[in-house]
Amino acid sequence: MEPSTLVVIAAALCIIVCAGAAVYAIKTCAPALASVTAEKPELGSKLLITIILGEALAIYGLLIAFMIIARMPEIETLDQAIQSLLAAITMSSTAVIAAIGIAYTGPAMMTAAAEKPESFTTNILGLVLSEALAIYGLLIAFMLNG
Amino acid sequence: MQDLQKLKVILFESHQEPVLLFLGKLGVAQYIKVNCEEELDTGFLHACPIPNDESLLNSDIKTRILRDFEDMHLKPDNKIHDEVLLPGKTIKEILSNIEQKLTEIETESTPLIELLDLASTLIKKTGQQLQTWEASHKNITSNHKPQSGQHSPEELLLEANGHLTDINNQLEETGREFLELQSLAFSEEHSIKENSEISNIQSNMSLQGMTLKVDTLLEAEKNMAQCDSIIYFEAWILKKQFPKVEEGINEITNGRCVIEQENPKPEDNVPNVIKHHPHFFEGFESLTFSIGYPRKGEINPTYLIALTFPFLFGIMFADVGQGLILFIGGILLLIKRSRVDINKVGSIQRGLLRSAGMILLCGISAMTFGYFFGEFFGPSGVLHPVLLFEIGPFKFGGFDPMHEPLTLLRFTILIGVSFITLGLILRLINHLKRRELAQIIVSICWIWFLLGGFLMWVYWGGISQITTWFGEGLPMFLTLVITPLIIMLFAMAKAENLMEGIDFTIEVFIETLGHTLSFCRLAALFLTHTALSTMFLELGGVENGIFPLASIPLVAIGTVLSISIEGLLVMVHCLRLHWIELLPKFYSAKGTLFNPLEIK
Repeated sequence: MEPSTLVVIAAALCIIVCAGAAVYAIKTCAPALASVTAEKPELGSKLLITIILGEALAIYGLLIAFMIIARMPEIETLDQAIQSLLAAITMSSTAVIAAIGIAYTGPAMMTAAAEKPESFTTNILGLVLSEALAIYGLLIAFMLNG
Repeated sequence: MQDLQKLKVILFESHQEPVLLFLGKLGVAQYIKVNCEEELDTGFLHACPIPNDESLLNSDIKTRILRDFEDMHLKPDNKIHDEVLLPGKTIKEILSNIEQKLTEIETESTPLIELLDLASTLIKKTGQQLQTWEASHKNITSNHKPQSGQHSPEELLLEANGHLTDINNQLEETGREFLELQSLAFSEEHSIKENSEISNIQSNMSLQGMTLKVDTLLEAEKNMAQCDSIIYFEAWILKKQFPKVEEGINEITNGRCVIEQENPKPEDNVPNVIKHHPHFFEGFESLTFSIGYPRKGEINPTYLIALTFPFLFGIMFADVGQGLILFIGGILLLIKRSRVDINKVGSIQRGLLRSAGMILLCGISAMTFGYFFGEFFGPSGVLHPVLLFEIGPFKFGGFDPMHEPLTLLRFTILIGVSFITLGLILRLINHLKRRELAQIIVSICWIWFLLGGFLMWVYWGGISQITTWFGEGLPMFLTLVITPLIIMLFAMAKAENLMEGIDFTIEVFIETLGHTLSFCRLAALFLTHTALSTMFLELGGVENGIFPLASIPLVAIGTVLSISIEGLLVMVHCLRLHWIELLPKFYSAKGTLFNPLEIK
């Protein structure tokens, strides 16, 4: 396979999978947010963090895909192309893992917050820790690509 | 001083409501739920039930007010007015007074309501007539077919045409009349709505606010305890107000009561009197208090966050151009804020106005970091990175982050270590204030461990050289990293028990590592921001700081996207860094606000 084809596949894979992960996280959290805010609208601004963190996954994917495309003219050998592909795979798989985490912890945190708003501080840990996984992936993908 | 004391009062049931109203008018007492077993015999204390008659009457009045609003085609006012409650010695009297006033208002408004009804029926009828007229108009024009007869076709057509114009003229006239009638009815309705009388009535509807206040009063009764005809209640009050309160209660009850004042015990969660910050810092105040209020005697971190939040925001959003937009936006919001009453605008607008100072500071910070990293609407080449200083392997500014991501990563680790150290120093201060020896030792060891590990990392050149840590660097490793952990373990083991100590030490080890690494997100989001801007710059064909005319709309779209989506993302990450990494080190957020029940 031509190196450039491989790079294009890498970029497309990265953004598509990350967008999929983001939509999985959002579509699980948004209905929970909707039902909680219907009951307690004042919690909305605090709990919005779940959806924004879900959305962040797509932006990380966009970043890596963009970096891969920007580097395309420099890539000549198959090895370099495979490295780009690996960067894309790292980013997209960590995004999927983080999305699964967010999709489980987000709604649980929101329902708990609706009942007892003071539990928010403890329960948000699960959410942000699973989101951190994507950041780690982003860093490694960045280094692989750079 | 703002010291709070516990007020304990025993009095007769007949004096309960007058005392409640008296304290409410002073606005000094925050009631504490009296702890009593509800399932004991009648001779023991049990929680006061909410008086049934009063709450029923209150909800009756509420529905009546809502119905009146509906009748008058007005919107119910949801804001709680600072209205003076009608006089009355007990809640029942107050409620009957409110009811009386409501009846007065209703009789006053009846003619107006009738007029309004008339106008709206008129509008409805003319509307219906107009509809039927339009339908028949269509029918007539379409049904008019030429008749066959002896006349020549031309004559017939001419005749028919004449008829048609006649009919059309007539119909148009009636249609116009209908329209006129309708507009007349509309203007009539409008003038009734603009009538000064109706605005009077609307302001009289402040009764609604009163019912809400009665609700809070009834809720407060639930905190009290009762034993037969004796009432017992506890409340937090300010120390300096105690003589006034004591005198007032004595006067109402003719001395037939027991009043006791008690200093707070260590296990009590004393409410905290929090002064409001100036307008400029309101945004930071709500950010801080969204995780909880400070406990009594704890550092209130609002001003600290006013420094650190824009700092972190600026690193992730480093851009002179976009920072300038935020700065100008902040100034405009501040100007607007001084002109409008913040309680009278919508919730989104209120949130924006409250965070005006925050937006302004974030803009300044973004501009500063943008200058050091050479970003103007992305790396457009207008500015070049400027080196501020360089310590060892750390560079503050002076490099292009897109091409040297590792330098940026090192820079963010430095920021992370300094932030965590700051949090730990504040933790140490908190414990020093409370004189908790074990915790003081733990805090010192924690700082030692963090800075020691950091020094190891810098001195031996990163994680890739980790083998040398255990070779020639072993003595240094033992003193800087292992010793503080062991001291910490023993300190915790002595204070609690051995398992607790081991648990805590492992937690500290993992937490320190994870939280420091977590600051790498500064680098990741910085690069995301730059990449997003670069994409639009490349699409627009911007090179070496020259913006072609055609690129401006594209750059504008990119800027809007950056500020809205990317700005929100950066803000959430800033919040998260504060909520998880910085604040929990020294801020318990378990306090409560001193919020005395107040009715005017």
